[in-house]
Formats: sequence, C-alpha cells, structure tokens
Amino acid sequence: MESERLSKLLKDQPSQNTSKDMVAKVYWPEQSHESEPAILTKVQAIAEKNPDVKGHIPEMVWFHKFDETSTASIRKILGIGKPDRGSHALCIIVFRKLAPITTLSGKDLLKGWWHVVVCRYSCFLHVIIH
Amino acid sequence: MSTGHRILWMNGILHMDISPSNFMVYKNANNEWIGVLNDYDLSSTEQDSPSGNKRRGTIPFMAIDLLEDEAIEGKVQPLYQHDAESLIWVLAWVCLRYEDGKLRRNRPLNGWLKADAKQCREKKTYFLLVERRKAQPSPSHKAVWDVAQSCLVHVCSLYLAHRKPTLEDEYVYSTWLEADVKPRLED
Repeated sequence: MESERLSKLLKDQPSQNTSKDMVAKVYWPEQSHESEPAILTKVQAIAEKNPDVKGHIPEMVWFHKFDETSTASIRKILGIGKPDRGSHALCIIVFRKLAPITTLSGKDLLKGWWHVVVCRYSCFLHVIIH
Repeated sequence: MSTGHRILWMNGILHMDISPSNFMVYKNANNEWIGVLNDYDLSSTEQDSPSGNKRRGTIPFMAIDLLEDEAIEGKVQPLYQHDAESLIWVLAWVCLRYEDGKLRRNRPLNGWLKADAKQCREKKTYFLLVERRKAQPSPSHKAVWDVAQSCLVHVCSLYLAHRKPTLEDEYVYSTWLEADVKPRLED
C-alpha cells in the first residue's frame, strides 16, 4: 500500500536512516496512560541535546487517534457504569521502517546492541540529573 | 533514585521493556548499521500478572532480582544494575538463539519464553551458574558470545555477594559493559 501524503511526510523529515519504507501499528492503548507520541516527544527533546541518543530512537512519521472509537463513549451510550475506567481508543502510529537486530551477527550485531546500551545510559543519566 | 526520578522512569523515557524484539537497526548513508531501541508504547509494557500486580518488562530478559516475589509486587526499586543485566541477557540470547540472522533450529533457551517469573528466575540462575560455561553459540556468533560471557560473569558476581549489593550506576556501566565491550568494537 502506498500513501502520497505519508511518503511526503517521510521525505520532509531529515533522517540518517536510508530506508524509504514505513510501518504502521494499529492498536488500542489505554487512554489514561501517557501516549506513545507524547513519550517520543520527550525522548526526542533529549536526543536534540545528546549525540548518544540522537539517531537511536524510533522516528514517528504520523499518528492518529480515533476519538470516536473510545470505549468510554461506547460505555456511556450503553449506560454501562464507570465509563472512563480503563478506557481504550483506536490509534494508528506510523514509523520509518527498522530491521530486527537479530538479522545481524558479528561486529554489526555488537555495534547495534552497543548503540542501544549507550543511548539508554545517556537517557538514564538525563533522568537522574533533571 | 528519588521518587521523582522513579516516576520519570515509569513515565516511559526509560521504559522497562528490554527484549530482543525491541532492539532494531537501520543502515545509514555510510552503510553502517545503527542500533535503535523501539517501542515506547507504555500500554504494552505494563502487563497485568494473574495476581493483579503490574509487571514491567518481558520475563526472560528481566534481571533475576526483579523476578523475585517482592519485586513483582513492586517492592523493589528498579536500578540501573537491573537495566544493565537485561541488556546483557538480550545479547546472550541473540548469540545462542540465532545463526546468520535466522532462528536456530534447536531453539536453545526456548523454555524461558514459557516460564512464569518464578520458573524463569530458577532457569536463569541455573544458566548463570552451571549451563553458561557449556552453552554453544552459533558459529556466526562466537566472537560476540565471548563478549556476552564476560558481561555475564559480572552479573554472576553480583549474585554471589554475601549481601545484596546496590552498585553505583557509573560503576555498573563502566565495569560490566564498557570495559568488556569497547575494546571489542575496535578490534
């Protein structure tokens, strides 16, 4: 499937990742939890200041929440008690495509794993200091 | 870590779901593979256990200390040493389970995937003390398994201590990880 709009969004987003492909996740997150885009924005802010993090986090291309699908509204209409408790809504999130690290071996594998180790330690220090 | 930091950790910047399926890579313009930790989706990392407790992470890769009952009940502070241990388990897992980018036919350690927290704690402890030395990495992963082994020895030493030690984060990063891995990246 191809989307002109998404391809344009991808093209306009500078990246070190040479892949031109995207992946979409369709899911029903719990609405009381902080959303994935909100977390990614925070991680992105750390990345802007930290070269160990930059380039080592997923790149979101697009996100949409279908508010009308909220199970809270459905429960409200049906008159089921506590409609907001543990409510979920349908979301779509699109990322620039990545490959599983398990496809690598030897030094490529060790390097890829090490990037994650260093990135996490940097995030960890950031959280401790701030 | 203060309560504030703990909350931030929980807030997802340092999500606890360290598992091989979240370790991804891409190729940059210089034809180098770059590592990325994927999946900041909190809703998928807080899994309810049958007892109603919130568990963070994927059992086979969680630190042995975090698989204890008190930890599952949320009574153990998550520390960087737990994070480092998970990262090391992931590396060991890939070396033993994969060959030339594909899952090996005999699927070593498969039992870990089906085990509950208690069973996994036992399996991993036994692996660390006994099976680790005899474990056979795939031919394509021999060199990386050597690195994973030396990291695992540090994890092992933690559990051998007379009292449960809380290590300095910087010490864990530099001795468990950096000291054994960095020289191997430059070979």
